[in-house]
This record gives sequence, structure tokens and C-alpha cells, in this order.
Amino acid sequence: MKVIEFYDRALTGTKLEEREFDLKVLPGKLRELIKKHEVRYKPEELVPQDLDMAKRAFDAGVELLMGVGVYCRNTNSVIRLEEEEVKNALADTPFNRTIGEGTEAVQCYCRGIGDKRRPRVIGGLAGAPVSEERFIDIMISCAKEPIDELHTGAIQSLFGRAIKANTPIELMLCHYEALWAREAIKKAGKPGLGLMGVMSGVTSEAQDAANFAGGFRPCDTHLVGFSNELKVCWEDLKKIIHNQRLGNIIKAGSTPMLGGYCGGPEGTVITALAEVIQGYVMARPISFSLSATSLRFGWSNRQTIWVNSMIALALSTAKAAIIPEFYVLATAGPCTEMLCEELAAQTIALTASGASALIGAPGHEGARMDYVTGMESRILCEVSRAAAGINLSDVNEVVRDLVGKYEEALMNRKAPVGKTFTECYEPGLTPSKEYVNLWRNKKKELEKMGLIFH
Amino acid sequence: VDILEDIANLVIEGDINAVITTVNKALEQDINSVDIIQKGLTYGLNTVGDKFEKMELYLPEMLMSAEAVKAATEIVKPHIKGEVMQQEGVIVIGTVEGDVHDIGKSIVALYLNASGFEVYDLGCEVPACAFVDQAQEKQADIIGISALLTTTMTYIPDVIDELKRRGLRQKYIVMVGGGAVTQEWAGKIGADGYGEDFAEAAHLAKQLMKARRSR
Repeated sequence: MKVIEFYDRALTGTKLEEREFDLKVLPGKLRELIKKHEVRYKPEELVPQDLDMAKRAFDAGVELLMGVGVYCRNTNSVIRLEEEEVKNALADTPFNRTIGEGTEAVQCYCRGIGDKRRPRVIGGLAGAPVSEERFIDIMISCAKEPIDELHTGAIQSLFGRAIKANTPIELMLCHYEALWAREAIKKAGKPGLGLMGVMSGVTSEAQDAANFAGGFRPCDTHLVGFSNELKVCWEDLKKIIHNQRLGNIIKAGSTPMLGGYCGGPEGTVITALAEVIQGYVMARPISFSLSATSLRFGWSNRQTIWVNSMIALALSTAKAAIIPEFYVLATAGPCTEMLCEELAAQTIALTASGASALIGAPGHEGARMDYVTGMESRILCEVSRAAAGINLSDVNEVVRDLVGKYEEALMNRKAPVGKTFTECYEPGLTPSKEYVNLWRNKKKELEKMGLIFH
Repeated sequence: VDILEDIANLVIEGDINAVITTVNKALEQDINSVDIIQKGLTYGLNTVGDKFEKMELYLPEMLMSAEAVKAATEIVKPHIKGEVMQQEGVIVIGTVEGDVHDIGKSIVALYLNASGFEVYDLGCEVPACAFVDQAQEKQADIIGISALLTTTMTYIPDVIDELKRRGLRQKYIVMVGGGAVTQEWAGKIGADGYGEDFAEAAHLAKQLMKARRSR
């Protein structure tokens, strides 16, 4: 479907107050679908085991999208989608495009439940804030790890100037984000590595400024994140138009919020699945980058792990070439045991549940400047490799044990601050002995839990 | 009194019709109207708030309970004699210019409202002068400013500057929050408070109001 079709439908769609959509239409439909499809959160299962329920959850996601449509925030109206349009979009996903170039080029692939191949790892900053002084070094530290793609971050200033959306400095910064990202992969000896962005600007014009010779290439991936929940705005459509016009690879994305408008774990799963389908219909993306997170307890708590694992299961059982990518973030800071455990728990759960790719992994839930290093990308690579091939039924205990180690600190908001990039890495851009040893010891613990590191 | 416990439990269940019926029954039984509000409705809603903060129940349920309390309070109000019901305070809240992300801010607004504040949600992409104009018009105590992105949080100090420019900085409590904002940064720009999430924002707003009243 063409973007202009959604534009037309937004103009002619039924008018509705946004608050009505958020607080009445969506929760009401979700209550009905949770009951009808018998989607039930089981707290004792951190990694859900019920594949029938996963299939029902996917059906509920399709029904939700059909039932409530997509809310356009600019026109305060609802864009309706037809079932046939959804079927066609899912039958014709451009998943086989190559990301990156040369020896670093990679292909997306759909993983299955318990798949022996490890998920692709999109290492890097995952959109976390980063100082302009450290951006290139942090990107190099991540690119040096055996990752498949490199995610940029939100640079905080340009030549000492504060950044403001909708200003020339925002546009210029997006240009520099691309330029410096390319410099980083060259310096890391991986000039063909695919980049994922643009993260330093919010407007479509600023993000488009990253596309130029020497900047973002058509073989890099361009993220179009839709608003929560089941919404779209002109900026989203403009980003799709810019990228389609340039022949760029698009990744769609959303951040469903557990505890918010979509309610508890069951409603969040169904909403997330509807948003994935929305993304495929509206943006024709190569993949969908999901970041379901709790309103209060981030990514690594047991409810969010259940939600993301269930989404991965549901998409693995769906008969479509949907490539789900999951953000993996820690609440603790780098160079702490808790961060290692948080990343390991999520990675194991998602790998066994059939996630196609993992994105991450900053500390402090991606909210504090320079609390991300290449070591977290390494953790994702090593744990996902070790967890690939493990049966779904075997991972529950491991994940439960890991969550048990940090749960008290997480729920009481006592996660350790950890260290910044400069405290974690030596001048030659090698990780500190302290961090390397910490991770080595943590791997030994994981080996005792049954993981085999290659 | 059992009936007050019933009211609290029905609030927790979010059953608006049953809350109204039971509140009417309590009034017929001449139960003290302030007790109905404090020991029944408010107690129930506080329990819901505690559960929401622990993510044991979620926004849609919390709103159903809040709606039930709001409707029942309107019924009880005319029966209150002499006592003045104290409101927590008046807040205008919005997401700054250039930022279309407002789910976090909206949830904070809804929770503050459920916690006893009179809340005016200005929406997203709110210019600095509109925050101040609305605060003046609504006779607010607190201005809540949110930004999700690092490229938009730089608009937050503009609101504080606008307050200073009009000589109104001391008149309002300025609270900031949102994905990109940190405690350190909030201190640096001269905000009065920072809430990491909806729960912290509500606790902090109450603390700051208490401090202001005791001045």
C-alpha cells in the first residue's frame, strides 16, 4: 500500500478524541480479545511455553488492528485497515534485502523457536544519549565486537552547542551522526558494517539529512518508530516517504508500554503484535524493532520478559516472513554483575523464543549519557550464541534463577550505577581488566546453569 | 465500619455502579460523609495507587477506580457540613515544543489526578509561553514539563526562562521529567523537582506542596 492511501484515509477517517481512543476504545477492545482468545499471563513462567496461546495471541493482534484501526494524531481520526491489506502486506515483506556491504554484509532471517542459529546482534548504542566527545570511540568499541549491525545513539551536542528539535543545529547534527558513524566503522576495520539510525534528531527533515554520500547508505537501516499505542503522525509518514524515495531499507518500530493504555502483560502482547502488523502494512519494513517495556521496571523484570518472549513466540508461529528484533536494555549501569545478569536473562529468553535479532544494550535503560560500551554488545553476542539451540522448556529455570539474582534491587530501584564508557575502557579502546574479569566470572556462573560458551 | 470497607473494596475492583450504590446506602445510614470519603473512597484509591506503582494492576483499572471515586465524591460532597475538603493542588502539565511523545506525560497526568490533584493536561508540543499562560489562567501551583528526547528536553529551560522573564519564577513549583531528563540535569536547569516516573512524580508533587504550605 502506498503512503498516500494512509494520508487519504486519515483525512476521511472517523473523528475521535485521542483520549477516547487511549482510554476507552483500546482498553475496551483488549478486554474483549483477552477473554475471547484466552490469553493469560502466567507469573510462574518467565518464558511462556504455551504455543497454542502464542498463536491465539497473534490472531488477537490481527483482530485488534482490524477492530480499532490506527489513530492519526494530526487529524484526530482513525485509519481503518482491511484484512486483505494485512494479508497482502505480510505475504510480501522485503525481508531478503542485504544490510551493510562488502565483507560485512548480512541478510535478515526468520528464526524459529529453539533455532540453532543465534539471533543477529545489532550492537551499539540503541539510541542511548552519548556525548559528542565519546560517540566515535563508543561506536568503535561496539563495532569491534562480532555484531551484525551497529545502532547509533542520540548525540547530545554539536561543537559544544545544545541541540534543539526543529532548528538548523538538529539537522546538522543528524548529518554529523551519519558522518561520524561511518568514520567509526572505518576505524574499527569494518567499513561495510550496516548502521541503524538516525537517533540524534526527531524531525523527518533532520533525519533525512543523514542520507548523503559519505553518510547513511541505502544499505543501512532507517528506523521509523510509530507512536504508542497504535498511532501514526505526519512525521512518521514523511520519514517513510523520504526513505522509500531514496530506496533505503526501512525498519519499523514501536515501544508498547506494559502497564499503560494496553494494560497488563496480556494486553501488551496483543497490542505489540497489532503494532508489528501495523508497521508492516504502513512502512514495508525489512524488520520490526520492538521495545516493550514496563512503565516502572524497565526491560528485565519478569513481566516484561514474559511479554517479549510471548511476542517472539507468537511471531515465530505466524505464517509470515516477519522479522522481529528486540531491544535488550539493562537498568543497572555497565561493569556491574546486575547488568550482566539482566542482559543474559533477556537474551536467553528471547533467543529460545525465536527472536530474529537482539538490539542493545545500554545500561540505565538507555537514559544516561555515556553509560554504554562495547562490552554489552559482546555479552549479547556470546550469550545468544550459547543459548541458541536450547529447548524452550529448558530455559525457564535458568532465566528464573538469573532474575532472582537482581529482582530485589530492580523492584526497589536500587540498581547499581556502574561505570561510564571512559571508566570501562582503556585509551586503546580495549575494555578494562575489571569489566573483562567480571564478565568472565559471570560466564562461569552461566556455565554452571547449563550454558555452553563456544 | 463494614460498609466503609465495602466501599474501599469496590473502589479497588473499579465497579463504579456498585461504589455509587454503596455510597448512597452509607449516606442513608447516616455514616459520616468525611469518613465515607477518607476511609472508604480515598483508602480504596490509595490501595489501587499502591498496586499500580508495583505494577500489580494497570492504567485502565486504575482509571476505572478513579472514575468511580470521582462520581461517588460528587454524591457525598453536598452532605459535607463545615469541613473543607482539601485538594492536593493544581497542576498544568505538558510535553515541550517539538516533542510529540506524550504517553508518559499523559500517564503522569492521569495518576496525579487520581492522587487528588486538579490537573490540566496541555498535550504535546506546548510552547514555553503557553505553559506560563495556562498556569496563570488555571491558578496553578505546579507546572509539570516533560520531554522524551534529548533534542527536545533543551526546550524545558525555556519555560523556566519565560517564568523568570515575567517575574513569576517563585510563584510556581516547576517539576520536570521524561525519558531524556535526569535528576542531575533537572538540578542544573533550576527545576524544583524531578520525577523518574508517574509514581515518583506524584509523591514528589505532594511533598513539594506540603513544603510550600508550611512556608
